[in-house]
Amino acid sequence: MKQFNCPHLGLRPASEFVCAGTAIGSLLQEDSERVRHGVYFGDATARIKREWWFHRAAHLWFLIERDTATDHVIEITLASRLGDADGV
Amino acid sequence: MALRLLKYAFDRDYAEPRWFNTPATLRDQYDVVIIGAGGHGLAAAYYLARHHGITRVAVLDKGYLGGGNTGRNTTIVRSNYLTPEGVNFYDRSVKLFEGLAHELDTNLFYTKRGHFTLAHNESTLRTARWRAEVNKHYGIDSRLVDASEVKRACPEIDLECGGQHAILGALYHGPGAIVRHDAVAWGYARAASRLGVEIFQQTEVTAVALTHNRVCAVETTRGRITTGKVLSAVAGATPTTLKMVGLPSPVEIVPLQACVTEPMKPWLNTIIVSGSLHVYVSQSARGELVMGASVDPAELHSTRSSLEFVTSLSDQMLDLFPFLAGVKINRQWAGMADMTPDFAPVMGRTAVEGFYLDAGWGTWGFKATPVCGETMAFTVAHDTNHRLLDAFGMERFERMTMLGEKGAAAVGH
Repeated sequence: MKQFNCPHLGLRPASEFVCAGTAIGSLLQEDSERVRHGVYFGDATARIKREWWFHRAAHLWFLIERDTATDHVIEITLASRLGDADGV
Repeated sequence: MALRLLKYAFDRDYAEPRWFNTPATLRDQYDVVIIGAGGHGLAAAYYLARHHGITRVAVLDKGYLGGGNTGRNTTIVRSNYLTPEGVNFYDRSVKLFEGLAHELDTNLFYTKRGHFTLAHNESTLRTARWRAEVNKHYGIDSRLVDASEVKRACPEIDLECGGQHAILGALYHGPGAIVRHDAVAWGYARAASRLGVEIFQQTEVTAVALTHNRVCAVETTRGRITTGKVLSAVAGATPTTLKMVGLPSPVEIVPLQACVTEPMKPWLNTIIVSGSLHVYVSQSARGELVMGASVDPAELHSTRSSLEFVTSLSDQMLDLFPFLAGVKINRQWAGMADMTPDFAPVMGRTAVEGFYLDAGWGTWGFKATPVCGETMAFTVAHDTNHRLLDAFGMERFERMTMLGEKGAAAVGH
């Protein structure tokens, strides 16, 4: 079974988490073109990327860095603030 | 058949003719290069030659013919979509499929089974009614049926679903069919090859060369080809070909898994789909139950299948068909699906002149094979999008004119 070795929750089944998509930085500003490009377009080849993952039971958001070619998890960080994904 | 077999057994010189010939070397120049020898690419090659007289066509594949998602889907053909654009498009595909065995002179084992999309709650029933009305408006045989009709068509089903998700009714779709997927690819390959198209397996495209934003050549592992037109039909690798021409990708790659049971005597005549339980199932001509579920939870470029998939799918299947408890799973596999944000494809011309895209085929591509071939061949030949592709251009993500096909494309294949 696929598991995440989370520094905060320990070794948990991946099925307890929900992937909420690629972390693309804050898009709260009114630059609609940047929003469109950030949301709908990007490099989607096999790569190392950061994603938002939500742990349902703990009700916590995480930023997970993962290799999309191998599914290897590189780093799991707790997202304490909404702005954490800025600049990724 | 028996005579043919005997002849084969006794005649030392007799050999079954090859379905398609691969020339020893690539030519220096082709009018059109198609990346991807799956159903879509081969169909496009066939219609380019058949309808448009363009026969200097090379179809290249880094693997083997039909080895991508053409050979990994669950072989269901249907047209009960939700948006008018989707309904018209898939209806054309079903019509082409119906005459395809004859046209390609290949037994495709096309069998019309009827297709039930089960509703376990009121909201699914509402979407089913909506889809039925849209379908009827376009002359497609879809209607809402109650649970007793489901039971009549499939007496083995447990309408209570273990007491957890009782079946309230279903969207019935008469033209729903299954068809042997390998035969579709091989049939198109043979028909295209007979018209002069050249097919090269184990030939990977490594780069697409541009001059002034126009395609001029492709680099392959077997040399350079000069060409003015390139069609990318590479489900699961679309972001890679888009990167070669410097375009951003609206497609993300997510694995979709499927499996088959050991063969059984025929008992399931229809195709059963449950969005709530995330399963779809039909019985193949070989007697195996062909089953699939929804896509994996996150982006991944891998065709590895997982134990979680097969256990959760079996669990849901047993809610529908408890008597299958002793039946074994024989094989499981995964394909890499081109997922788009609105569950509709991305097709047609692109911002790069001479680079055409047949992509975004997520979990709904196999059933569209003939119509994709036909419309992409038209688009490539005339350098103008076929009218059926109007709604599917990549620019819809710029204009925010998405299609919203999720209600009909997700799970229900």
